[in-house]
Amino acid sequence: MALRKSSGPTVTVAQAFLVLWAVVSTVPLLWAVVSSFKSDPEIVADPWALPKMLRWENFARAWDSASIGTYFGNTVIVVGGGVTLTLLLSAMAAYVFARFEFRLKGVLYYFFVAGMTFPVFMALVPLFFVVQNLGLGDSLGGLILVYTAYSLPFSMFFLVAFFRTLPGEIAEAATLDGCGEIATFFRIMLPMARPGLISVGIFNFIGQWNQYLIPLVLVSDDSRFVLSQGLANLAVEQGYAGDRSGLFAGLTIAMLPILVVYALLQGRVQAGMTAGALK
Amino acid sequence: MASRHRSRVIVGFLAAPLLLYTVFVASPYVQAFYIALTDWRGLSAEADLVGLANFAELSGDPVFWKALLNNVILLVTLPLVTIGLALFLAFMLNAAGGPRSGEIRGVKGAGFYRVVYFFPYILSIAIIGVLWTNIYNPINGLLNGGLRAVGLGEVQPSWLGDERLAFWAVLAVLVWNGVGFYVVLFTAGIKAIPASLLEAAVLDGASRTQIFFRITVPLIWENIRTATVYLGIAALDAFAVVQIMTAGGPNDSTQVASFYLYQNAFSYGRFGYASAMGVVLFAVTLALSAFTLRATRRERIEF
Amino acid sequence: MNDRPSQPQPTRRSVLALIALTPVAGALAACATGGTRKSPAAVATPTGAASAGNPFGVAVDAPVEVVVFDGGYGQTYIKLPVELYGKQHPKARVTQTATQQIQQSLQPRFVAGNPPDVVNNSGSNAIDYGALVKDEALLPLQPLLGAPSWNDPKVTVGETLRPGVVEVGTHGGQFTVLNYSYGAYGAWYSASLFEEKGWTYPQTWDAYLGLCDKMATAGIAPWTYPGQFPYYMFWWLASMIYKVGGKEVIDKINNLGKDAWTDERAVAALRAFEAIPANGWVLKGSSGLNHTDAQMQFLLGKAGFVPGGSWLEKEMGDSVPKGFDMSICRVPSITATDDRPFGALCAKAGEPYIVPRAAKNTAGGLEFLRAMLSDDSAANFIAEAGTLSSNRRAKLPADAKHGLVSINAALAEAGDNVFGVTLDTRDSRLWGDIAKVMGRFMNGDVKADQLAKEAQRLTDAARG
Repeated sequence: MALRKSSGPTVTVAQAFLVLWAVVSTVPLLWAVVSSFKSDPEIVADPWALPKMLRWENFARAWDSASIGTYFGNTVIVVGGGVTLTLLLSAMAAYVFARFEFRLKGVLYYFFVAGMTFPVFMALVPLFFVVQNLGLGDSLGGLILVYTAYSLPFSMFFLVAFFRTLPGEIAEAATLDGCGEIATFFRIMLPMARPGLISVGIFNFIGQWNQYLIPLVLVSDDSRFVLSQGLANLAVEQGYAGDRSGLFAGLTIAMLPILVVYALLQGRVQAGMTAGALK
Repeated sequence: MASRHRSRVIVGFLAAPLLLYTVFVASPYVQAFYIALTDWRGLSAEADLVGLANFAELSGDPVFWKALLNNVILLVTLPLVTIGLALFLAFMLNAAGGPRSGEIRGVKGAGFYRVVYFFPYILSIAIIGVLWTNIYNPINGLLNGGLRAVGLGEVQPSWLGDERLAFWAVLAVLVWNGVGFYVVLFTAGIKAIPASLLEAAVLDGASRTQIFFRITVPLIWENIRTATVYLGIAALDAFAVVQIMTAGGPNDSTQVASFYLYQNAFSYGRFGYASAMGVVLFAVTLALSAFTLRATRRERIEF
Repeated sequence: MNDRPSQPQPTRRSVLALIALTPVAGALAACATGGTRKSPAAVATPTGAASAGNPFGVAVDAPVEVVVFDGGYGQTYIKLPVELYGKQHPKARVTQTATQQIQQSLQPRFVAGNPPDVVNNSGSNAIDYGALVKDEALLPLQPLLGAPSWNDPKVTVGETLRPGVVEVGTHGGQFTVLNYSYGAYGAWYSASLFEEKGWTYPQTWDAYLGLCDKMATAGIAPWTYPGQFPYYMFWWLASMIYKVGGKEVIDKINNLGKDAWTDERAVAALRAFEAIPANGWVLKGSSGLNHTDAQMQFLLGKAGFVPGGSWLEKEMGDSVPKGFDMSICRVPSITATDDRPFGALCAKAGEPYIVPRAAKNTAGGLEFLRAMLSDDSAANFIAEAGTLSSNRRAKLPADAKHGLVSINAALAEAGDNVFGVTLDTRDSRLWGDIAKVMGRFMNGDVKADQLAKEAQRLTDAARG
């Protein structure tokens, strides 16, 4: 089982390349974290130097004065609500599509799934006015509903396939045992669909946590900004308000939780994120 | 009895998702077609039907064409570079291990690499935009600081301020952001290739390069195709990085359709015109996805 | 904080949500055009007798409702005029509220016909002026101009205003918007740096170029600018054009006129500035900087001049070194036949206040604006907001920052030789498009003649 000799050096080069890409992937993130401990003059003086001391006050300033704390709270509320609602509604719809035959089923199914094809920005203008006219502009509740609506097509599509793999006999048996359809769904089918729900949940959590365009258009009151929007606003509109170390601290606050969650659950996250593509 | 109950469940379970989806997803697309035919500027009294005037203006708008051209260049380069890089990395992670001349095996710590490569992908594209704007800062950014540190103090490009560089600087960020995801995606495909197939190839004296092109790529073609579609969608969007890093500048060199649409709607108040742009992009997307699916169709190789 | 063109926000309409549920194009027509508007109410007549101390004849016990925008200037500055009004009309109750969402909270009240008496219609969520003017929803403020000023009955309110305040507040031929703050635009330099190096601020363009040469020799880049937001150059270049060509050329530029940018006086001004990029006197890397980056380079002494306006000193806060002595630039004389003298300045009033025509106590609204324009209220505003007021007589606080003092002095020196750029609000797209070309001009990719030609081409296209 010998490979040709010539592949020896190739392999070494390849391995060096693997390391190089690991460096390229991480150095920018590390740089943000390191810079968040520096003072502004230190950042300006030499971007590669290490901080002379750990300036934790940068984080306090970012959290309070730059309102990162508020943005963080808003994001938690919106994503918490959005993911929960997405899971509930998409599971309900998917269950119906997977288990029942009814008129218009095919039409409705493709009506839903068509929503996966086009980016949000194409219908940005009408979306803005729909939300305004419903009185949901500038509100976290409005964001939750819109996030959910745009997460439904994929989530449902994924869960339909998942529910189909579950043995239908169990549901049948439960119904025969006098369990109502609704009880069957919540007590038996949902728990059985747990692995699928976790995948979809992770996928939507990351997607909604990182959403930028929708809040940018729908929310203009800065007390209701979400994290990505607030940071971009701080950096672009205000030119980080003359507080560069505070901006880096804000970036770090925004990056770290999601990186930590990912590092802890990486297998699941990778599976969740690629689940759609591998279907 | 049972069937009435059943239909109640069907209606009850579908009502809320269907309502949300119709109101916030489907209806805006439909409305876009109508608004595109008006000169609506967002004020209630001022929407007149102007027929296809918006489309006529679009066809003669040099910025829109520049934006579309940039999207097309992204559409070619982004998948090409990202998939090329990701394929190479994924293959090496799974095949560059083992003794110098021996069996094909994954490298040590392949799992670790995959985790690290994935980092950029799970961050918000907005955060990535802000971070890279700072990295590209010509005076105190990471990149030019690095050039100075290695004695290239005279080479200090204004990455995002130079018309010749800005577009490629933006493309690089999109590639950086995406590669990890596709490494994971391709790894899943590569792992599914039966080991016996590779062993047979090695016995036949195939080099790793040959194995890569003759076995790996054809066998994970489905994944590559999926990746192409995903990256194509990303290339048509590219909103966040452009809005945050360059605002389409300098001199429209990084302008893309999504940002130009946004500018027209929310900076210039030209909602009718912006909607017309949305409609054109809708058609372009439709045509492109049909084309992609056709162009990448190959016989699926069963194993 | 006029540094970015604000996003025009559409008005919220009372269209029912149901329309969104009906995917039929015909029904959707209602979506874009729904909502009826109240026809304009007649101007409310004074309900009390007019007198010297009560020029608008306010009913002494009529309440006044004021809504303030809670933005960059805060809202506490409104407390003093409320107090002054109360002293003058002790029986009247003045209520004051603040919001960041002017449009969201007030549009329904305009539609219902019971708006507040005074509205600070400001911020990115302001009610669209086009709609307000079209609906004739604004009370003309001319009576305010002729009324005696709060502090000195011999001087009218109009006479206390800085130049251009009435002009910028005039919509559809009527003075309807009182802009309360006042700011200068252009470029900045450090007086202490000049002193340290023994440089004097140049009076002529030749001397200016000589100074730039000295700066470059001393290792300081004469100019930096925010390449990411090239419109920052607009005010300075317009100032140079105003210096050479005067009001006539600036009016052509603001009004999308023919032969505006290509007017030989405009071209002469641009050609003069062309020497800066041509000599490599723009800090390397400026094209990739945002506004705070460029300002930081200026504060670090890496660049001699930076474009910007009144807000810059406050924006940079603690980053301004002690004793930096930030000072506003005046345009040196460029040709022998400049239309305007040395000291001509770009300045404009901002922070709009309106009295709705349908308000219950319009006389009280006018009276409140008169109280706001008192010397005391205006001085208090300067102290709290850190920017000048439209009242030219208001005193600066003792601890006023150097930049603010320098603007105040420059305005005094400029007298009536003051102009405003209004293209940004008139056609934000054209403004941005011309700014893009200015960015290329700063990079040296485009020469003055090309800049003029291209700006004119864009102007002609926008005029249609």
